Amino acid sequence: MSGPFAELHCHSAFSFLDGASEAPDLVARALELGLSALAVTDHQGLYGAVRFQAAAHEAGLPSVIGVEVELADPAVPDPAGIVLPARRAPAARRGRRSGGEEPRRPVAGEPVRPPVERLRPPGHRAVRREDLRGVRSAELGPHLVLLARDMSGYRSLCRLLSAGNLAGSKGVPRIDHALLAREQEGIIVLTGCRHGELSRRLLAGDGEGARAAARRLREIAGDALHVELQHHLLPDDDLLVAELVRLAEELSLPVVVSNDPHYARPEDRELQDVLVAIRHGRTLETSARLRRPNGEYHLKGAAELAALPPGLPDAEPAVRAAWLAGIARSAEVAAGCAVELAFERYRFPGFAVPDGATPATELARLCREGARRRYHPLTPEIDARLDHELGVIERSGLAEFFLICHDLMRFCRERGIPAQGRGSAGDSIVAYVLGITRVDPIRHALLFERFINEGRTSYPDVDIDIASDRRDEVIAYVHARYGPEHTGMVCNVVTYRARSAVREIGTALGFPRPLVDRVAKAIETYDPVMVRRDLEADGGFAELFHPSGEAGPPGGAAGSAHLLDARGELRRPVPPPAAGDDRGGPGDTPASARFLAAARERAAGRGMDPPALPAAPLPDPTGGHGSTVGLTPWERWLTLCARIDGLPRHLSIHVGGMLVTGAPLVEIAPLERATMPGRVVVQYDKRDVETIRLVKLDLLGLRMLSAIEDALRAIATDCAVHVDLDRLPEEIPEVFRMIRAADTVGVFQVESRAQMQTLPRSRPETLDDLVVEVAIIRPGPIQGNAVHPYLRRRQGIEPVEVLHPSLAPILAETLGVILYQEQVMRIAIDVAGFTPGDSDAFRRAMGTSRSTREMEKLHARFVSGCIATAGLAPEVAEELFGRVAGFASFGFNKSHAAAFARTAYESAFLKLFYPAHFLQGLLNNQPMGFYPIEVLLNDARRHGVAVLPVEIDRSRFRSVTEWVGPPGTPLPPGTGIEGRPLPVHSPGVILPDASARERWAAPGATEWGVRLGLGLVRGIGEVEGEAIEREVEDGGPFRSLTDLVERTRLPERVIERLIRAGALDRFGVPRRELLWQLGEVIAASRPAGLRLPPTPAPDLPPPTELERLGDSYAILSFDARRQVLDLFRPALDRLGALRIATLDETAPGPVRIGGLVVTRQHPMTAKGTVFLALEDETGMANVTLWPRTWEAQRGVVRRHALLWVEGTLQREDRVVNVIARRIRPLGEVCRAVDGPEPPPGVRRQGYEGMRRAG
Amino acid sequence: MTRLIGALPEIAVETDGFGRPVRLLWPGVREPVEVCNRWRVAEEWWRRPIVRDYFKVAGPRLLALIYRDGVDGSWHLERLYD
Repeated sequence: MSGPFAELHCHSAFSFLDGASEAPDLVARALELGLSALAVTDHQGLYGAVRFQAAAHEAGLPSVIGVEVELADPAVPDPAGIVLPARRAPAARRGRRSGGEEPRRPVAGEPVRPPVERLRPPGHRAVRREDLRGVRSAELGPHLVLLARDMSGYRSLCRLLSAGNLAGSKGVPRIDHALLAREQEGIIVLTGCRHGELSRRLLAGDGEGARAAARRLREIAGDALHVELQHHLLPDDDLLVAELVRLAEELSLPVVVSNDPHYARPEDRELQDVLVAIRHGRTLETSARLRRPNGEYHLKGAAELAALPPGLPDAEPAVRAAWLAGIARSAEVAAGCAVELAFERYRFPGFAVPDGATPATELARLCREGARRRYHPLTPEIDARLDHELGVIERSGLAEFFLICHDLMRFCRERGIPAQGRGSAGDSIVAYVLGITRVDPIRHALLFERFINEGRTSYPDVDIDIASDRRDEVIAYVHARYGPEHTGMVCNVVTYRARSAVREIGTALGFPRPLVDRVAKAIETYDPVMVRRDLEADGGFAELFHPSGEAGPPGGAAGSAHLLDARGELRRPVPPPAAGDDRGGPGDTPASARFLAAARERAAGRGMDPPALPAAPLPDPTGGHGSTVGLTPWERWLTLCARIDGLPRHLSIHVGGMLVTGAPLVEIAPLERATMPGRVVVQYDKRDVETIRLVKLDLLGLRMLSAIEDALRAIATDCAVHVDLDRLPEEIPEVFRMIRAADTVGVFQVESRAQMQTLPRSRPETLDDLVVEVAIIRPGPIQGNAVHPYLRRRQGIEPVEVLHPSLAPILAETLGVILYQEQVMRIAIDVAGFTPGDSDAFRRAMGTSRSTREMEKLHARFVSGCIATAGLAPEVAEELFGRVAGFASFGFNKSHAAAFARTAYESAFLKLFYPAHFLQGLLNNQPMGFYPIEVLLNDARRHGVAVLPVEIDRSRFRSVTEWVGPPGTPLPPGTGIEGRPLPVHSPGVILPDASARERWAAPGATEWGVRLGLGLVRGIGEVEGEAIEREVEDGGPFRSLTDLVERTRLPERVIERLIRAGALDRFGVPRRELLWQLGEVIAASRPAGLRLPPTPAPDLPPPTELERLGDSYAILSFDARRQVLDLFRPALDRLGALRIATLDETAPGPVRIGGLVVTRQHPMTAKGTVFLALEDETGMANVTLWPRTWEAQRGVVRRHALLWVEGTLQREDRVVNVIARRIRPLGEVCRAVDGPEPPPGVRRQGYEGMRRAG
Repeated sequence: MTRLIGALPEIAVETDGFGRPVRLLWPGVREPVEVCNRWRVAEEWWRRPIVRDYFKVAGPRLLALIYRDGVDGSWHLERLYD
């Protein structure tokens, strides 16, 4: 028999770490099996509902929205503890919990929760989170499946889940029968799986209790209650089905059959087992009790279900009849469900406008006002554009949205919170005159249709960047303005990426922890599919894939068999070390280093590898292709990593997506508690919100805005000048001169290595050029080969030519290269004759990989349009389509690039004319940007900025500017440095000349240095830093170590760090002596302590400069007085190495340099080439390692921070590169000429620098 | 008492059209049986996969736990209940 069947109880991957298939896979499989409909019922939430419905819609499969809840109480009293069994005693692991909290005795009818672990994220109140690891489903509350019959049912589900979540603790909603009774409208109730109350009671022999529970549920749900039958070939399933059928007959309840699928296809079972193991923090071996005993939980069709024991001809006739009827009935239930998730009508909360006005007239009034402020003179062109935009906005019903944004920006301005819009909103003159964006769309020829168009294929996207330290104020304002019922944050789905996939799957498969750590840290990509390539390519791991000395097929089963012992476990997981490679890598923890050492000893003790065991692959009993049966453990690990790619792992709050709605939010989406008190998150992410046609505000934190704000504030106090960046002219030549010289460390967006490499060639001279620069140096254009044509044309090497004269005006600004999305649309409109609305649809279709059929349709329309509209020859039109298609996938939004370019320009201005103030802003908003702090400091010093060391009395918690006098005069006493650094003479260091400085900078701008803050000392947080600050303010400078200890009562370890960082050097006592005294002083300062003067230290040798520097790097990760290479300079001079600043003037050819690695990049776009930035006391150099060099030298590069590079200097235009031939540890090279040893702190620093960049 | 059969000896089984055992065959013995309970175990796919359809069967003279190996289709005796 194979009638219609609909699966009504199915888990997608949004049953976090339980469902193993994503919605599209489930839908595809359901269609293959001929299901009439599919429901997705994830655990405790509607997280996957929107994606599932969209996938089902696309495939043409009817969808049902539902949820499987875990109830907090039994339907009827449960004195025997059948429905809510007492849990086992919590594992001993939790024994370290302090406090003598006795585990509660089980109370009848109430679940016993294991003790909670307290997690306290910084700055938040304690969050109670239940630890459910190792707890079986059977020990948790009874399950119940709820389906939405119609929109009222959907709203009931939303309210039910929201109420449950807000009543429970974070992540553990509390849903009870009383709540269910309140919110049952439009809901269909299924009695659930084996863990439903009815099944639990029947399996325990409590038939009466089961009947009572069923009656109670019928009271709640009425006719909507269905008894759910499932059969998974488990021992009691025959009995359970028979009992449920009997119960349903007695109470005249309808039955439905479901299979509770947790994955789409049989072979996905493997991943599901792994997910369960991960969820419980165990390995597959140790989680047998928690996993499902067989692989029957996949999607099944009607025929397959009918062939299960209850459907066989010799089954009990009543059971068989009910089973077959239940299969058919499930299709009927599904057919009776209709939910459409679209909430366009409820978008906006109703913005208050004056009497007699509508949102549209109010918006028009505000725009006119704004236009008079922004434009002088107000030309008819501007008026026309404004009218056009206002018309489109009114017709799209988005006027309110703009009023909300305007109000938000008004709030920011009033509070002095730096904020600016970006994204496609920048294309709109309305956004510009309302003060939402800061780039003039007319001046920069931005296309409004990219933002909104009447074809309405896309929704407006307004991203507002807000100084990151003040974003919470803005969110709180929106919350208060529109009411908590109407505002919520959008959630963010955290999905598996390479590192997490490798780590968690490796652990679940039982690989030794140190090995998993090492593999995870060796990974250089986040794409699990590439992990395989990465591990196979990595010298350190290649051996694990094929036997040594033999180039076998990568990952071949026979190849790695010799690495496995009889149990299929890894025998010798780590290859023997290469010479000089014995200290472990940057990723090694002490534990993994020990493990590696032990593994090596074992390997050495055994001598040769034992003979290989035959790895007889077993036939695949699951019958599914794609099963990992028969693979080696390594291959299995990698295969599963590829398969887990993109699966959701858990939810987090989205950084800034905020939903403001007309209808109460609980009617639209389920809400959850966020970690932060009072804040709620909707269970949908930003993609879902767009799918259900709501508009969200993106309030994003941008640290550069905070940094600029800090700098401006400091300039106002120090120089008595208010710098209004809004009025900053766009064409200051000195700023572009600096940008062209790639002197851009710290400048927003154009400071990265790739940017610095192109700036001297692209030679931006206007803000528009800078917009191109921001848009073009990105992985897409680099891979799409758009960069070089542009650069060549820019340099005049190649003529600017376009395919057809009609393209010339559109592509003029990018010299004939298609770069912006706006250009793609403009081509579609002007050349191919599309309407503006269609052109946006065209852009989107080209950008995402759509079906070939759809593409063909667009292709034909585009080509015929080009021929008809602009008179292109057919082959030219074809060629144009090819180019547009090629560039569309990485096309960048010009307005977005323009907003960023403006900020880049402003930050460049500050760096050039107010370097100290800018540095201070950057330091106080770390982490940000491309470089570690050390690079920022060295760069500032090279520009003549006095960087003053951390000092207990003079430093505040944050870094501040400090007056050091005009250049050329001696420093005021007490600065802590010997003299002002002299600017380095190099083409890469640009200083403004006197006339420019006079014109653009305040008179005293160069008289300020930066006093580093106490917050830069590792281990000193805001609390300690401010305690010191306050004490200095109240009681004056500290007189001695004893004075400091007694007044601040800081712990010993903090003071030790201050001593080692040099913050107490002012006391005039050598550091060693201070450290010696510290213990005694601390002891004496205790209440009972005798206030004896500290004993004089024995004759301790003063620390060498090397030791001082090592300490400084270890505690601060930089040194304020000198760059570490300074110490090596005499040795480097003896070895004939060049200073990096001189490379600019050195002839191409062989060179040798030494330096500290500040960044290391292994970009996916570079096909295995590795780039290092190497810094010495004079500058920063680019070192390129071709793949072959990297293969040979990776051990050294990964393990050492101070490197000696021998290579060839290359110069193309003014871009200098050193192509490395040989790389050696600097210490080793210098030892030969009696040079110093690298200080240990510096070595560690290098590791961290690498980890950051890698 | 139960006897666990450690070596899991292979046995011959006659099945019905749905693959359920109806007779156990020993040399010289044809024991008609009825299935009391059945379940499927599919485990340890990451090592040496075990896929077994277990049947608890009762005949006039015995009560036994047998299984059909899903990998090669052979039948085995795991447990005899006295």
